[in-house]
Amino acid sequence: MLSLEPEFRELHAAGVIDDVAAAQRLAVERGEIFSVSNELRVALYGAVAAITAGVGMMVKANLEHIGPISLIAALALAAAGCYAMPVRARLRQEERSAAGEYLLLLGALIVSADLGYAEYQFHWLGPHWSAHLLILCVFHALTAYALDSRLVLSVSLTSLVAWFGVEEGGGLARTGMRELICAATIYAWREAHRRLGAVQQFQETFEHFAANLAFWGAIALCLGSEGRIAGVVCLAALAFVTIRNGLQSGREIFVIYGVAYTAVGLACLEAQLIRSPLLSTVTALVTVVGAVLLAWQLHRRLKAEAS
Amino acid sequence: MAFRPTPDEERWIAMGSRLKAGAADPWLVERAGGWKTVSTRMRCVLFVLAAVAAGLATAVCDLLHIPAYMWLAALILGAVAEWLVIKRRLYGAGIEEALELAALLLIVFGITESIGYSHDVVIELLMAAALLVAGIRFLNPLFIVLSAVAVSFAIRYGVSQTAGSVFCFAVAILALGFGAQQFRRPAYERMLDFLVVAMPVAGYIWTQSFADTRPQALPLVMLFPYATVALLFGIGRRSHALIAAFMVSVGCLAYELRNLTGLTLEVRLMVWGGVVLAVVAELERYLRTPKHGITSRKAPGEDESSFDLLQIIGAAAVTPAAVHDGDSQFKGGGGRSGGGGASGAY
Repeated sequence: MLSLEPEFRELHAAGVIDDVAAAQRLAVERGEIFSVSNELRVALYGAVAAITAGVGMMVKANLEHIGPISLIAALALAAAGCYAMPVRARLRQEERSAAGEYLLLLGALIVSADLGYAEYQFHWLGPHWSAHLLILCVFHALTAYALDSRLVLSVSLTSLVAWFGVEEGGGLARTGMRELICAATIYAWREAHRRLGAVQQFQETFEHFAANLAFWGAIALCLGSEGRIAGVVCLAALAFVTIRNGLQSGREIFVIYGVAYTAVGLACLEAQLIRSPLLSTVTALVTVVGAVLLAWQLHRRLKAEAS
Repeated sequence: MAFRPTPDEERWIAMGSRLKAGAADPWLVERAGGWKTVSTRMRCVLFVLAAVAAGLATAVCDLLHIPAYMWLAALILGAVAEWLVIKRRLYGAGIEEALELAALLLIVFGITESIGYSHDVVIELLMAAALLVAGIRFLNPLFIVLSAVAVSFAIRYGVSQTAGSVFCFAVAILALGFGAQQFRRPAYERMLDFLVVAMPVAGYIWTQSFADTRPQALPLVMLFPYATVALLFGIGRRSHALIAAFMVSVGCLAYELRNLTGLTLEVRLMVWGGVVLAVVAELERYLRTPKHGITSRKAPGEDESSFDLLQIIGAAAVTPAAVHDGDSQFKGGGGRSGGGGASGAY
């Protein structure tokens, strides 16, 4: 098995890494410490995905067979059971394990399925049925803050995105606008979160959601026949802001968002607008090569600043 | 003129990656031989962009009606790739890998055009050779795995499905065996890691007959011992790849035995999901205090940022969509215009 023990020893002797870091790294390289944390989390995610899929299929398959109240109560009970362990750990001020984290996620997903089923069955919200997604967003947000869970925050943000959602036949321009408004909402939430001095680790979750949605919205605008100019302006502005944010904070992923999404958007736009196949292909080639060179230069700059 | 980093340089490049070193860190500059590399994320992005660029460049040659345009494009792309490696000293940057692979595949397509598309086995072997050459040239484990899979395709169509499956498992077992060796080059280790995880899956897929859903003998005979050995060796050798191989083998076994109980799919998903959840939760609790060095806590210095992002994406992906009642007056988005929740079933 590969061991970089000699290299770590050399760096320790040269004073590049301190005694504590060297001891920790050497223990890992020698196999004295072997963490299976990631493997366990993958297995937990698979289990949660399987249970959630099973619950969804069971609800769908038994809509006519099981009494709705029984099904809603059963799901609510299951969700409560999932929440019990993380809530107990929180009340005892204990560190929550990865299993507890994923159990909490499972509880949140069951709540989403339960409320969605209840609304589908009873139409409590009438024509405003999609408001149940907003209710879920608020509920999951409260849970995420109370129990300090990024995974549940992701569920909350996904519910918010679903509420803004995509209306069939709305056209690319309307879809793009909705996604941009959703991204702006998430960003405003993130700003309020930051100013209130709340949990640091949530900020990245907000930023990932906002960045991706904003770029999708801008690209949708670019591809639609209406709002194309606005889409290009948005795309350029987003690229500038995201790349600058990535460089300032040393986060490569935001640089990648800025370069990759912009390249995709521009290439698709060129394919739409330029009639000549040869010219559009050459233009797209120049765009993609430009994106590669830009990504490379920005990567080198990030590495230089890390020094 | 160096064609690739030496084993020592490659080890120091790996150190730079582990310690998140900057490009100008003196200790890295002194030891890495001037080779430039990128993170895995950036490598994937640059690979995709470069692959698209290669496709567009080939399309331009075609649109210009250049005779034998594929060979010309292959020459240009290959030359650029080698220039990036030899002169600019790129290693594992994605760009040079995509360009060289594109060049080799264009050569394969050129040969294919000459001999005709009916020679399936020959084409698959040519693809395997192209991937192997690219894999060895750039020490890229993904290309090596794809080459082995391409060979299995050739065996499957040239001999039989069972032979293709046996080949895949044989490669996996050989890779598992060779993994006991100490290699100076980290790339050799990565190649074996990719093979032990991917080849059992490929071997299992070749055993599948979509008409017959009963458990088959071959996958059970191959996967049970392989999973057991992978787990034992994974723990003994402290290998994440072998533990991943164990997990995927168990996944394949679970799928193979899916109809054993006669339960409906949704019940199976919930029951087995619950069992896995309970077992893993207990295992995590048990390993919170290290047992023989194995722990469920994160290792010191481990970079969690990529995994955290995957978790966020994963949580969003499994969030149930809203059920849309098509008969109701649809209003959403919190107002009179705009969309509402996503429609569709759970």
